Amino acid sequence: MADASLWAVEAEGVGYSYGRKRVLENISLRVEEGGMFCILGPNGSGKTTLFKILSTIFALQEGEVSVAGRSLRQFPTPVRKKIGVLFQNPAVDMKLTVRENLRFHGNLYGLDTHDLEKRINKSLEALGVDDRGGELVENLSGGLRRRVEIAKVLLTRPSILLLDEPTTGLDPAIRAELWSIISGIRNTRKLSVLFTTHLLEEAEPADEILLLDQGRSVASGKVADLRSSLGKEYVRLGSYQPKKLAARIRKEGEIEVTAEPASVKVVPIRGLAAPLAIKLWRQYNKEVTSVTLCRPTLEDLFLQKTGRHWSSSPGEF
Amino acid sequence: MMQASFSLALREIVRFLRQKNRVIGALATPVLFWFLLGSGVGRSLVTPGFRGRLDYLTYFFPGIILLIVLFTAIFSTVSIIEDRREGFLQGVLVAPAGRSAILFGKIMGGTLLAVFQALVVMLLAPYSDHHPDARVLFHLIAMTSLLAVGLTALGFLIAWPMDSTQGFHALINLFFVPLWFLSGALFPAGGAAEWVRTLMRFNPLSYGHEALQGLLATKQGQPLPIDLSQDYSIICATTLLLVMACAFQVSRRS
Repeated sequence: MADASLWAVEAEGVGYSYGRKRVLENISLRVEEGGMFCILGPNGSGKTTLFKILSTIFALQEGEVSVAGRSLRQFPTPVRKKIGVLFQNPAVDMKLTVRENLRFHGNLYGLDTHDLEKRINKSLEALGVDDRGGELVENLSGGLRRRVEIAKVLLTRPSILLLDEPTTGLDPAIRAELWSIISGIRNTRKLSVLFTTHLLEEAEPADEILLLDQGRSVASGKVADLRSSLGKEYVRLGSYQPKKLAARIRKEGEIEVTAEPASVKVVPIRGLAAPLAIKLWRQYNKEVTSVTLCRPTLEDLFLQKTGRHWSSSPGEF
Repeated sequence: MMQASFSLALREIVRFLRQKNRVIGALATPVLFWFLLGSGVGRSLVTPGFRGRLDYLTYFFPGIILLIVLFTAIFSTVSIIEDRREGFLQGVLVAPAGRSAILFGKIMGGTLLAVFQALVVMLLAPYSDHHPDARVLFHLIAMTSLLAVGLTALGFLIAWPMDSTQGFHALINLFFVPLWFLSGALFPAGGAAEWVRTLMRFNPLSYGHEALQGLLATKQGQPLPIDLSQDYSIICATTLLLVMACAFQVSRRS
């Protein structure tokens, strides 16, 4: 077994219930030091509960969690000093100025008051908001608020950054900016990152993911490994009448055909997907609106493991 | 932990001063109540005081000080619900300072604001020709502080598990306002129905009101008209209980 200190976060057999309702069942994960880890799951999968346990808001009911080698159950205070937490809703006081927010945060973490002002300057500078120090946070745009919040979290120099659905409610430009800020920070210093998301495309850049569904771990590992475990590239044909088209294509043989809403998925049993795509395009030209050559995605993984589409919540069809 | 608590208390004060409507709500409303109701009732009701009979404006004054403390305590604890809803509280909960730092910060902030406002009204009210000596001033500050700590703790206790400010306001009307009504702030216990008098006897706030009434009726050099030790013990014990209940409540994590 690897040395415990190698893992930024290590969770083993975590379970959680709200009263009688079971929301997490036997969840285990390991975040490598300096790694980027994603907890991916549709709404209601339990990822926010898991996040709240890891960020010490919820008490650990079952299992063990250690952060930077310290047990969360036994040493919550040293763990809290190691983590920086970015919540879905910005945890900044709108009625305070940017600088006051950072000062307040530093005091909460017991930072030395002489050192604090220097750190605040550095932090604001690093996030490009040093000229906004005296402004009330309520007067800033959503993107700037996020920057202020990151500056605030980095003030205490955490070694692990925890982010709960960090891009919810942000427009696409600010989303991209947020991720580029975080990768910028990771280039300059060693920082492990763990984040939750319900957006499949956001999980892709992570080193490793944990896929959750209804409180259970559905799959976990490196994104590339998970994809290749799903097997082959396939062809997706856009169609107005997917069922009818699927029935016709099925007669071709040596392929697996599935009718999906507005498209037909064709997986070659033997051979490659690319020549099959050209062949199908020529043959069914009149019925097909588009042809796409696809690699298995995390969405396919979810479908394979749960039998449901990503967008449908439990019980929906 | 102290650094964190002081910082939270300072935040309360800065936020309070930046929200002008809160200053008005906590200070101007009680003063207006006092002036309108006191002048309106005027001499229609002549109420017994510690030193002879009083017109209603004078009778009502200690009750208004109590209301200022009450309002400030309510307004400074309702912010817990806002903090929770806006997400700010989560950021505090994951800090190493611990949850008791939040409690003490809130109570300290609420108490400082309440005592300051109560003192301003007590000393600056043009009506009161009250110039307390050091002894009375000490007791006024001590008693108002104890009341403020207790009432802020009570507000905290109610606000902590809540997620909507509407619910909190509903509880205030049901709970805080009768508590104030039955403290002697509006009418003396003497002329009340027996069951009301019994309720008033079991209301800890009555003892705070009694102490304030006695202190505010004491001019320079005069001896105190009441023995404060009973009032102090009841208010101290209640306040301590409430703070302990708060500490227990915040220490529980879901």
